Amino acid sequence: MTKIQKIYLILLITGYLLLITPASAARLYFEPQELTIGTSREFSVAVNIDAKDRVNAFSAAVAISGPLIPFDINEANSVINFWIEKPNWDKTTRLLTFSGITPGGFQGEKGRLLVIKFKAEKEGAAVLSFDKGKTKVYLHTPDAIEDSLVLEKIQLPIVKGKENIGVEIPDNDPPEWFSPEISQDPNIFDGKYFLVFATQDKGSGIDHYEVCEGSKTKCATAESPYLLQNQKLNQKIFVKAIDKSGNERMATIEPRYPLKWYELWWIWGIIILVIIALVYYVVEKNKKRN
Amino acid sequence: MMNVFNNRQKILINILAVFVVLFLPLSALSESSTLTITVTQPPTTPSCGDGSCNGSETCSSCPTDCGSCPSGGGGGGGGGGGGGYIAPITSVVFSGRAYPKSTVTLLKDAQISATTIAGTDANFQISVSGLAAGNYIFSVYGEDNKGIRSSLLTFPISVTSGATTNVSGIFIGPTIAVDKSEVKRGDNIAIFGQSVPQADITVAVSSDEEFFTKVKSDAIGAYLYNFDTSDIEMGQHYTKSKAAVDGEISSFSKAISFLVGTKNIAVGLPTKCPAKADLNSDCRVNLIDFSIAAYWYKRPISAEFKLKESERLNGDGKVDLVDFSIMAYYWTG
Repeated sequence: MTKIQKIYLILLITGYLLLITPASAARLYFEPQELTIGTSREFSVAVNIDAKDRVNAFSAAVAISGPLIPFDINEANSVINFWIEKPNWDKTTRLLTFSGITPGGFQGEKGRLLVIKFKAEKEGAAVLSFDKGKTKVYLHTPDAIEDSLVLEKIQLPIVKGKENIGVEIPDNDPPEWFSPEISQDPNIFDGKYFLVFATQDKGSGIDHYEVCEGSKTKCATAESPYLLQNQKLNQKIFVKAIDKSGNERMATIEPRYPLKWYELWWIWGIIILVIIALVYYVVEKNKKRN
Repeated sequence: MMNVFNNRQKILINILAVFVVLFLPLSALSESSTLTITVTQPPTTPSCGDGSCNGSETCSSCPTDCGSCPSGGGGGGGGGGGGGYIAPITSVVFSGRAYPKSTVTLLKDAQISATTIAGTDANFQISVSGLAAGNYIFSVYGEDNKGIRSSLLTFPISVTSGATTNVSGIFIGPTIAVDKSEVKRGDNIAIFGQSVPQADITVAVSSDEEFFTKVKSDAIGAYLYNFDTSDIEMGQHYTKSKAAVDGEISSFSKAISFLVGTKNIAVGLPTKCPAKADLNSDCRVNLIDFSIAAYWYKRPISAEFKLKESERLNGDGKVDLVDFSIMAYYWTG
């Protein structure tokens, strides 16, 4: 076989191999900030998806081996709009798990699922891979068909003394506007009123939510769905979304059944004061007359 | 060159060549789309003549942008107000075709952001502003004159700070409904819906062999096709449609199913309620339904909820990712 013939054969085989790769497979892969990691500073690795067909539900388990410690997960700019399970790092199994959905679906390349921020403990080699049994993607179809997946892993050499590039961008923007909703359903919370809310922060990602019932200062860290303490719905509700940079966005829900004027203590306070003032005035006037 | 190969090599090469010729062009095919995304960014440095009175421009330093200064009749004129810099607006504008006089809804990251009414020509424009720079998933859908919703058209868009992103050429797929849930083989089933006026509607019916037919929509965009079921097998079939007008082609409608069997079962008037995933029965699939499902995720479900799960989700007696995928498909915001 001549050299040209060999090249021809290799090209044909490559073409064939490309064809036998599942045509609709979604590709899950890692995009590290740099291909070689230093021990002295933090660095980040994005978890991305290339979806040939429209997909709408994701569940993944990222196995992290080697001297790496994930210390922060950034969900900002993720194609996942609602998290079923927020990213969670289990030290024992060394698995980072998460799941969520994209209503309407996502189709395209370089869809960001999340960004993992790491610190390297020491030099060596780290491997990031997907747990095949726990990683699933579903097609955007009426019956939820599981998509075939191409799961890629990555090996990252960790070198002592190398400075990782710092790519911190200051986030001064509060989370996006949002409209919490009060709802009631016999299937959850024994039919009691609950609150649902969700928003996104495109800079640093949402850190947490707080729900304040009746007063802006009487707040509790909350997750949606949140069982309301005040089931009478006669007070204002404030929902704060706070991002990882501390920026805050607050949404207000007006009371559905506002208190009547005679139920407000401060109205009675004013009335009592006015009465006292009047009595005092009358008494003083009478004294002067006498 | 081929003489050097033995017979086995020749066969292998020929098989591979056939595969490459037949299938490679298919894999390179992508959905044709006329969607256009443009980003318009105002000049970063305000300059006299850019059409905006901004930066340090005043009526005296830049009358072109700020207009002429009022001339004082007698007394000394007051000091001019400081021309504060107005930050450019970050916005996204969507435009395209829906259905005449239909409600078009825009979702930003799966939550309703704005709605508008399309014109009698089915054209619409809808915008959202006050955004932070970043990646967003925008979706639009239309609601026809019977309240039937189209499928969601989704656009992942990277928004640039201070710029206006225009997404034009959106063509929302037709709505679709059938008059029977089961049709006696040999009888007709009516497939109908709404799209843009005077469009060519392609109706596809899936079977062993897929059937395609073209009908024309009327002045209000309504279309009707009576499909003869003589030529298709007994069993479950799906139908969907798409529209073409002025060289533009819409996305496909939702696919809806019907059964070809031994009797006719009529379906009532088309309903605007999603076929599945509406857990609180408000005819919408949104964050409330997601929250109800999330409450039962990986928990043993109650007897009452089991009924709902079998009716509105995948009916396997538990809430898992499959159910959330169904919910994401039927999402309305």
